[in-house]
Amino acid sequence: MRVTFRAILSVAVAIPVLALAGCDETIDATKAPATSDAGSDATTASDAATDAPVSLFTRLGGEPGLVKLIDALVAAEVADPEIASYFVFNGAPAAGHPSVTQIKECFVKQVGTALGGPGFTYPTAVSGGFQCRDMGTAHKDLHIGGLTFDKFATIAAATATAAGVPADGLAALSGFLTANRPLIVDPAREDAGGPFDSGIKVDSGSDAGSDAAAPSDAATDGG
Amino acid sequence: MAAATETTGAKVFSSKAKTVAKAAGAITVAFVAFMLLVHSASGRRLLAPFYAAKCPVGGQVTGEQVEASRLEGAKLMLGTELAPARPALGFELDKTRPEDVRAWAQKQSVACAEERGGALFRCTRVKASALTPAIEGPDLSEVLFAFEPKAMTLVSVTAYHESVSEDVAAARGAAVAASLEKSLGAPHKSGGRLEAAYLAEAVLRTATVGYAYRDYVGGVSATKLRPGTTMLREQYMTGMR
Repeated sequence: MRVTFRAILSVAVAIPVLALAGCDETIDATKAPATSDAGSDATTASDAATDAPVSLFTRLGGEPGLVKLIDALVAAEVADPEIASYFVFNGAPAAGHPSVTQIKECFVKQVGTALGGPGFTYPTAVSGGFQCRDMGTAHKDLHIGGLTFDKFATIAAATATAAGVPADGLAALSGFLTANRPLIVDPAREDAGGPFDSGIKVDSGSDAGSDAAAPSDAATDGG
Repeated sequence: MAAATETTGAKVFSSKAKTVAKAAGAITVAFVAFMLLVHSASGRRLLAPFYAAKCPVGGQVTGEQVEASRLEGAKLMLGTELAPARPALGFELDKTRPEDVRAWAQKQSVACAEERGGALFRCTRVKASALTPAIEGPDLSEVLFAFEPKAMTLVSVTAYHESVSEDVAAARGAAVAASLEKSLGAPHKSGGRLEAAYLAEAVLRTATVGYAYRDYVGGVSATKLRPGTTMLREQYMTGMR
C-alpha cells in the first residue's frame, strides 16, 4: 500500500513539475537565435565574385548587421516612455502575443526581404513557431496615432543614423515607413499622439496591445 | 471469518488503489502529452484560434507594466562608465518627484496632464526659457516626465518640437548638443549635422548626438519627416535600476 500511495504522491508532484518544464521549453524557444548568418556570407561572396555594385543589404552587414541594427532600433523604441506602452503585452508570449524577441525576428525578416536579402521571405515563421504578419494586421488593434508614428519614425531614423546607415539606407527606411504608415496609423487618430493607454478603450477579450496576435491570423488576413 | 473479511477488504482496497494509481498515471501521461503539444510550434499554431480570441489583455496598461517594458529597452542602451553629470533639462533624474514637476509647472504656467496614475506627466507648449539650459526659441510642443511608479522618482524626460522648420530644429538641436558637450564631453555616438540645410536635403534626413553611460542616457536628434515638418527629440534617461 505504501508503494501505491507513493506512486500517487509522485504523480501529484510530477504534474506541476512537468507543467513548469513545458513552460520553460516555450521560453527557451522564444530566445532561440534569430537566424543564421549563412545568407549574408553567400551574398558577400557572390558580390565579390561578380564585381557588381555592393547591395545595401551587404553594406548593412548582411543578416548579422541587420540583426544588430534592429536590436538597437527596438531597444531605443521600447526605452521611450510612450512607445513602451505599446510593448507591455509582449512580455507574455504564452498568451498569444509575440515576445519582443519574436517581434525583432519578424522585423529582421521583413527588412531583409525588402532589401532583397538572399533567403529572406516575409511573412514567415520565427522562433516558437510565431507567424509574422503584415503591418496592418499586426497593428490594427493598437489605435496608433499619427503623432506617435512620427515619434517612432524619429527614433528609428536617429538610431539608424547613429549606427552609420548610409543615405540610401535612410531613403529605404523612409520608403518603408511611408508605405506602411497608412497600414499602421488609425485614420481616426491621424493627429493624435500619446501612449497606448491614453483613453483608448479596448474590449478585454480582444488581443489589443499585441504587436502581432495569433499565428493563424497571418493566413486569414493574407499577410 | 473476521480475518477473511479483512483480507478480502484489503484486496479490494489494494485493487482500488491500483486503479487510482493507473488512472493517475494515465492522466499524467495525457497531461504531459498535452503540454508538449501546446508548447510546440505546431501545437501553438493549432491552438492559436482559441487563445487569440481570449487574449488576456485589458484596454488600459499600468505604470508598472510600462516601466517594466521601458527598462527592457533602456538596459540595452547603457554604457559602462558612470556619467560625470546627468543633465535633464534642469530636473534631477532619480530625485525629482511629481510634486516638484507640479510646482515647476505652476511657476512656469505650464499645463501638464497626468497619466498612468501620475507616473507620466505630459506638459504641453512649454516655454524654452522654462527649461535648463534656457535656449531661445519657440515653445516646445511637449515635455514628458516619466516616474518610476513605486518610488515616484523621475526616470525619463523627453522633450519635443513636434513639427517645426529645419531652422528651428537645427537651432535648438545644436544648442542642446553644445550644452551636453560642455557637461559630458564629446558624444559617444553621432550622425549627420545639426544644420538646417543638411536636414532640408531629404525626407528622413537626421542629425543626432547621443551619450550612453552606465547610469545615464541622453541625447538629441532632429529628423525631417515631411516637407516643412521636422521633429526634434531630446531624451534624458536614468540607467540606475
